[in-house]
Amino acid sequence: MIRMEDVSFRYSNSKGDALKHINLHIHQGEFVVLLGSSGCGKTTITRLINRLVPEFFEGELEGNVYIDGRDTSDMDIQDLTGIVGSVFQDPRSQFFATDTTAEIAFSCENVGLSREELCRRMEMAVNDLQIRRLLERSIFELSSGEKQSIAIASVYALSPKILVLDEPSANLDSAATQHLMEILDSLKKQGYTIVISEHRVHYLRDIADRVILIENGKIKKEISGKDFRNLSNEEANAMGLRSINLLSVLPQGSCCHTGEKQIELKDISYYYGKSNGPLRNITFSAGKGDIVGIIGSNGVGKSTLLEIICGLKKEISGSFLMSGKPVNQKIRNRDTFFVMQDSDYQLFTESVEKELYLGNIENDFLREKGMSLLNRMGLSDYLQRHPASLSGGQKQRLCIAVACMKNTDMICFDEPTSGLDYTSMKNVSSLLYELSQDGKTLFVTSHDYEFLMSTCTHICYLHAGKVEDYFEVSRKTAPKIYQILFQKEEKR
Amino acid sequence: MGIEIETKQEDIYTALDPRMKLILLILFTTATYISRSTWVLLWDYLLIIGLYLVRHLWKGAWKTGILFGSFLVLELLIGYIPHEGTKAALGLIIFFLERTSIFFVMGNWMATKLRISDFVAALQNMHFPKGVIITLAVVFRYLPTVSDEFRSIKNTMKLRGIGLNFKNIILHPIQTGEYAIVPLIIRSMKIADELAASAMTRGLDLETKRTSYRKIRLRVKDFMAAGIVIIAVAGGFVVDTILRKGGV
Amino acid sequence: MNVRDYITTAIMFVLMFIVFSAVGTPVGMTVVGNLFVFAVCAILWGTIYLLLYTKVNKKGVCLLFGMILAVLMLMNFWAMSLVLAIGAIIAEVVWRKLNRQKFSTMLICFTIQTVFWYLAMTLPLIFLKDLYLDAVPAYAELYGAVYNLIVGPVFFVGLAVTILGCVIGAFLGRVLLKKHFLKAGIV
Repeated sequence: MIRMEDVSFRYSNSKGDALKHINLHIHQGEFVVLLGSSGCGKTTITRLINRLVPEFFEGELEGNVYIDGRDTSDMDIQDLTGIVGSVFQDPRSQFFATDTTAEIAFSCENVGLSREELCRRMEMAVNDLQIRRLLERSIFELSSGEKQSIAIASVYALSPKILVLDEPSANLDSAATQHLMEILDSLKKQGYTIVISEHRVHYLRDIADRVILIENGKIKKEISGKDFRNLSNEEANAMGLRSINLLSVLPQGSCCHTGEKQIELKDISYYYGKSNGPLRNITFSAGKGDIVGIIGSNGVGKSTLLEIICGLKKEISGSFLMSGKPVNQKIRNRDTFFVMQDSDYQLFTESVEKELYLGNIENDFLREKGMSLLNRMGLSDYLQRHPASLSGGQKQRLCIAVACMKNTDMICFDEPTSGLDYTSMKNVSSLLYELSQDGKTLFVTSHDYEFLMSTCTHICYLHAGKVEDYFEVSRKTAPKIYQILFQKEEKR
Repeated sequence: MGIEIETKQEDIYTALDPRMKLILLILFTTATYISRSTWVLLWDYLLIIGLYLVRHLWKGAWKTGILFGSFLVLELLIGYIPHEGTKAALGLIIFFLERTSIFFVMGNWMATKLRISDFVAALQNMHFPKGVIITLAVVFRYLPTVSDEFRSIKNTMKLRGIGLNFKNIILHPIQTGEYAIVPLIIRSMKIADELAASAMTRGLDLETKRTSYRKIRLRVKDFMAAGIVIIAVAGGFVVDTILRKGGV
Repeated sequence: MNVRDYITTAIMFVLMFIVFSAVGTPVGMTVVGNLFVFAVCAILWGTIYLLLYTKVNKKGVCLLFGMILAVLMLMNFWAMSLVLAIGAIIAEVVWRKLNRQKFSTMLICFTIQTVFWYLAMTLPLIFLKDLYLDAVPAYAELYGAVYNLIVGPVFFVGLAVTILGCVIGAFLGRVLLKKHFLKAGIV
């Protein structure tokens, strides 16, 4: 079905080859997972299939790509519309329409199908993917998982032979990821050829037919599905992959209890409008050196809670205490920092170096600190590069370095490891550990079970706007955390 | 056909053809811009509120009512200011506010619960060039979300000490402007690229004529509704002219 | 122009419009302020327009951008849309005649489009002067004086300031383009 012969590719503006002499053969109905660290080339391979490379992302392409027996060198992206369906990473920027029904109809409308055929195909998509409850809703109200389902439905309506997905679970919580797996499983059973590039591979463990490891633009290893399922976590990690069997991942963070309370929240309440869930009577306290993982389903208010802690939103009632003294919003703003999920919102200058010193007065001490931070992040070679030209993982590491520069006692992180490979995730984890050794209190929202296990000392479980539970991370509580993360999403 | 049945369940009023909405829009804006007296303006305002009510947009009607009401009240109060210069200046301001606010009010009326697909289908029917339709559709799709994007940027600026407060804007305007705009542009370009990739892999570029799953046809009730409104607006004018010529 | 160009144009349009709403509302609250609002906006718009012209360096981009604005302005007053449409066509003609790669061409087309928006706001005032003065008979005299001021010398001052703003904006845009967007790989 898909055949790549001696394919090499270099992007227009880059110095090195993204792909070197790739030979790949994917059979009809096969479920193939492409794995590898960031920047290894797996996304580029997926782009070869839908011809985004080289039509959209320009560069020099050598070698041949055959889709369904046809040579794609004289085909355009639009020629592959009914043959290859593509689903991308960020659910927010895939939508053309503003309501769900129109979005599902979008691809059929483009192809010029008659109204009867259109409606028939939409019915089919809605039934097969079981998303009838999502019809006739505004796209802006949906959760990430629901958006992803609509994106798949839109592509499904054209009955493509091949489905290509680029890190589809990156922005999804655990329940949505499970749902995604179920959809993919049903599609596989219908005979679709599916190619996914991913980091978080645990949810694909049972349905992958073949796993291909990419490194530096070359195929390093091919593993059959069966062998893959039998890999232990250690073997996977050694290959740079995320753990496959999440249940057996055990907590490693050790508590440095100083007993001093760094921050206390008492009865914090917040509500705004109908769309966001209200927060009611949030009460907990965290000590110096604690790393608190905040978990809960999407939309429950985790990010809102972080924003209140950092003084970006004002609480309606309740009080805040830092080191025993009450602090208002302004002081929190000054004395905390927030690393957001999307690094695009957080980089302002034209070079990595300037980015570190932004907002601070430059002096020798700061310069030394900056350089050592960059070294730890692996970014010292990129001093003069523009932050926007870095890769996603590099940008995220830069944002964390910037956070360290501000030197506050409290730092909040919103999904710091979404889309990071194993090594980067471990890097972030050890950095957070060091920060906590310095006596800082860290709050982290995450869906990443592995990361939570490696890093957090405590877990705060938010449910229905309240703190349902607040406990220490240990081997005893690990199953409880697993259970919370992977429970089925409640029907709205 | 399940999809058909679902989309039919709409208010008979909200299902007004977008072309009719467009005509009504042009009608009202022209009428208010060239209205000769406050009475005609008042009449037009009432009609606009009526438009909101007909579509069951209670909140919108309420807000519009308050807006227009405050304009008219202010105009009345300004009449009592003794100082001629201030009176004229303020009067002029209110005068233009009364008219330019139509843009936002009618825009809001059109945009509430507007299905972009209806809009697109209507434009396709009118044989607008495809490029213009795509561009307009994306404008309406991106406009609601861009404020969210900018909010995140603003928040980070606050935390990094380069926030959008008075001090920074007055003392370092260019630098602050740069910090605000550059990430927004970079982020917007990224969204543009991702949106384009998603649309192109789903065949938006194809030469074939686009169809639509929505049925867009001018129905009798569209003409009737438009007719009523046109008569109402024109009526306001006629009455006003008669009163002027005949009376004061 | 392909789908990617249309989408880029649309996104840049939204950004331009946001700047207008954000800056225009405080500055343009007064009638007089309305005349200078474009000058201030133009300083920020320079970057947006330059980026648009550089990324979508094809025939038709000026026309498309101007037409979208004209269509949206139908919500204000159709006379404004007419002026904007004329401006879009003129800008497009200039765009095609001159070398599209040069900075000076971009500067000229950007200025044309902004100036015509300024004209769209002010020309209706001039032509419908009688209509307006009729509407407020109570203070017609004073209004007349203020009005004549606005459509007289102040109009030209506003025009000059707007053009100046465009020039500053374009140069600022070029600086930002080199400093950020080229290095970031956006262009």
